[in-house]
Amino acid sequence: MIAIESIPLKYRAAVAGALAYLLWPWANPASWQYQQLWLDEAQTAPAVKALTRFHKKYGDDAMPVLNAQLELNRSRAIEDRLTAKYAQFSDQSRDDGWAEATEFVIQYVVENTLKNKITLLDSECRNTMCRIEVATPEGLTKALNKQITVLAGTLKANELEFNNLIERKKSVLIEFKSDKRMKFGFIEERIARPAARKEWTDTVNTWLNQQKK
Amino acid sequence: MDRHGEHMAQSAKEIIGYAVGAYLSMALLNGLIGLALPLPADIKAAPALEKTLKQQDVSLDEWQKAAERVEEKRKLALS
Repeated sequence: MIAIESIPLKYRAAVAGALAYLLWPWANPASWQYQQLWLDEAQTAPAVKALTRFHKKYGDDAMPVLNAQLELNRSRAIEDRLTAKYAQFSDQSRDDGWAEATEFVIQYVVENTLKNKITLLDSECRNTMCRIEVATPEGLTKALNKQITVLAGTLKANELEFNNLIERKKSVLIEFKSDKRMKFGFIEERIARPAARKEWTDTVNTWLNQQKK
Repeated sequence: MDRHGEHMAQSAKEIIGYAVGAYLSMALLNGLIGLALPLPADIKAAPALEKTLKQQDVSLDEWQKAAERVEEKRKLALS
């Protein structure tokens, strides 16, 4: 092991600086406090008024509720950002359980409702979206259009909304999207939907129930 | 403990010393900055509100949105 005395003071200072940098977020005053320095009082006055009014109206007991709601807002904003990041079919990973079941439904609809009047070249579902490729050997004819409309209508009943249609040379790609909850990866799931979210929701709901009495 | 072991223990202590020292310095500095930063009088007059607001590193607008959302939920719950 390298003796610490053998490390020049400037490097030790650099390490201490790096540690301080890493620890900064934990000991940093809130950004709204810094805002007071560069924002006019008139700019912050509406927010200050709204918050003091809230405190006067509901008292100290409502403060944990305010904090819980802020946490919920932040958590939902992260979830929305991640959902937007994976809004495109090509960016999505596969939610196996949902994807397999939905691919089965699509296959079933084509075989039984449409009686195979369209030729399904491919069907793939990922996280909240499905993309199917339908053969159009004679182009997008009226008859085919009608069948695609029936397919879209039937899938809508199964909570798959028509999203996009891309024409290719001898086929069309049809995208459907579901409003199901997006399944994120291990780390993103914990960032977007932390376990504490239930506690925050409970804190708000308990207070709301007390308000009813 | 042999000389090598003693030396390692000494080095580890120094590293921990630097880390703790850096953290305490930052905490002290931030505490002083926090005290020096201006605070709206209305917020200062409500210690519980001030304490709550200081818990989160967000803008006042985000706090306002949270307060408005609680109000909306309350209205919905009571309607």
